[in-house]
Amino acid sequence: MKLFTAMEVGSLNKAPFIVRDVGRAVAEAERWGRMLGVENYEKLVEAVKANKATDEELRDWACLFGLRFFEKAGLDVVYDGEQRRMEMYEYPLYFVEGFEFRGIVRVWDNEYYKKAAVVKKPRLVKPYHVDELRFNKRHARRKLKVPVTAAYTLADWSFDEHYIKNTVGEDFFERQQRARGDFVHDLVVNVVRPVVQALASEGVDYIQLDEPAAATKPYESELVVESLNETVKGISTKIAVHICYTNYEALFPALLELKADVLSISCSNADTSKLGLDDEARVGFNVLKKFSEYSLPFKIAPGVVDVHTDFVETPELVRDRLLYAAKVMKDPGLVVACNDCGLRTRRWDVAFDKQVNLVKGAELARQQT
Amino acid sequence: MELRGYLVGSFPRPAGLIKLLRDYSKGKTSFERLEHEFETTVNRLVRLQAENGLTYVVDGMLLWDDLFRPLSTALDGLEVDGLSRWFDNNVFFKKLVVKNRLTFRQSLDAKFFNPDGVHAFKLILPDPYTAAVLSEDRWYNSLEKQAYDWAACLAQTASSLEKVEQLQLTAPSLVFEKIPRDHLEIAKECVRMVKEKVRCELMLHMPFGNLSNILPEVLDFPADVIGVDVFKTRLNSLAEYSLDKRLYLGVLDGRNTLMEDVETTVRILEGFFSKTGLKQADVGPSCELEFLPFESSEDKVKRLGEVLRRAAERL
Repeated sequence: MKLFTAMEVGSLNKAPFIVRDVGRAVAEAERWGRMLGVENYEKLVEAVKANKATDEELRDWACLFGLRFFEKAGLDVVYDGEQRRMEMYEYPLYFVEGFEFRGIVRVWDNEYYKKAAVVKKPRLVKPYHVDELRFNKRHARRKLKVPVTAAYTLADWSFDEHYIKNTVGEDFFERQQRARGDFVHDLVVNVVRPVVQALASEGVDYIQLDEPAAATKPYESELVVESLNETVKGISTKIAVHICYTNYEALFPALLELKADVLSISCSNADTSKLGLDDEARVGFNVLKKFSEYSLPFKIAPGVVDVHTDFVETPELVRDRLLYAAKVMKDPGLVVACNDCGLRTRRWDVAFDKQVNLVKGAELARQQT
Repeated sequence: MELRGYLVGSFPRPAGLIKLLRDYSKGKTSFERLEHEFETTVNRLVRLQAENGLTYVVDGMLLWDDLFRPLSTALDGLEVDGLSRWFDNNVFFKKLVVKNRLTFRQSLDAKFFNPDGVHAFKLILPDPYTAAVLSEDRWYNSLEKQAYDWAACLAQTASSLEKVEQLQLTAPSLVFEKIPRDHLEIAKECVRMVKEKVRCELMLHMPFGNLSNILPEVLDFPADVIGVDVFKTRLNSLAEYSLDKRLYLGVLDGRNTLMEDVETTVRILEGFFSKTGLKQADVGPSCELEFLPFESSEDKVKRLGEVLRRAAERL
């Protein structure tokens, strides 16, 4: 792997031509098709103009545009921006028996998400993401990394109407702890591991396990790591684990047992935009000091691009963030160039500029190493 | 076995209110339409609690975006900052930044607390220690000084409101992790400062954590009721102490849609009463019902009513 390999992390906003206004859809398809060098994009333009593109065809085009988006920006490891998925929790559950959606719950203020309850032992109906991967393999010109929501997060974001009910005991606390372990274990064995196995058997460069809930409950950090390790047991494909916007220190020391090739974390959201390699400028990357205390079994991919702002990091800022990470980790070979998280919340124009500068910044960092 | 039942936090917003709030922020609906929906929902929730025999009722706190936001307008010295995780939940609150000395400015707006004069209302505020720990201090450089000013402000906020039958101080920071002993003393003094100013019953509720972390010291806090999240605290650990204070036992899981079995719940309570020699206690959800879909939260209230009725039958 070259120094400061540039990897995407996950989602992009929906492709700009997926809009109701036909005129705008045509213009966006033309503009992005030409700019990204999407082969035969004129066919899409004609189909949109004639209002003849089916939803399935539009999704295929969106995935192709997503792939070319990252490839054109120059990333080394790419995917399609998750253009077929509505989001990371609800989508996989449509392929799993044993869950029922109960309604919406608040995340903050007036923002909500659909939350399901497990009502019986989960059973995978069909390995999801496989058709998506096959499509991407047919079209990709760079290495691919397919993201998969991991078991702990699926459990943490669900209600439990099955395991607790079937756990005996007179103590609420003990029943809940036992049920939790069983729920996560069944999701690993019956759902996520089979999906990961199916994806690995297709042949893919990386599988990324997404665990945004990993540090929600610090007292369950061992369960998080055990479940990730169980998920990838026997898999020879390279594994990336993505954990974002959390207190990483809460995951120690369990995290040291993680069997992964790359751990990607968010740093830039808490960082400054000042250039420099000093602690004050790179305050968002201070968390790496905790990682540097140990001999890590994985590379670290600190987010050097903040996905929650339209501010476009300059190549020099990306460079300094990478060089600072390399300095703290005492080995540039341990550092991968990544975004904090998926770019879903940004417009394609902004996201593209950010990715171009991610690649340029990684190159500058290589030159200075 | 004498049980009282009530809630310990906010209700989720129903879908209609969520939509109207979004529409209103975009200028797509009128204030009157939003206000009507809000009042209709409050009335529905108060009626639900009353019909199920709850001793105190809450108005649902439907417009509190989180436990701290209304205080940013009631107190001076604060600014609202970015999102922070609400303990071990997939829910976030906006952190308050203390930029100047905290002082009481005005009472809570009626949209945040407006008792109807018919039912016994409870008011829910953060406990001063939790408020201090979860705020970003850019003024005091002292947790102790900040916490005492929070206590003074929260006491004034509570005493400025009429028709409050129970004041609940929500104190997860006391139990989520073990805290230093000197912090416990600060928290205790803060509760004392509030108790001194209010005339109603004072409850200290500690969701999301293990009460054993602060036992037995918490039993000396000058609160009338000590609230326990029994999904985080082993009941047996409570039975080791001489309990002369009224306990609130959060026996309905406020974070899970599974409806507790009434018979099992009452049996566990009977076992606890028998072990401890307690004759009375309060029961309800372990925490706010905010984490549930609206319909499930209504079902939890009905389930609480069933527990209260079944327990009363056993007398």
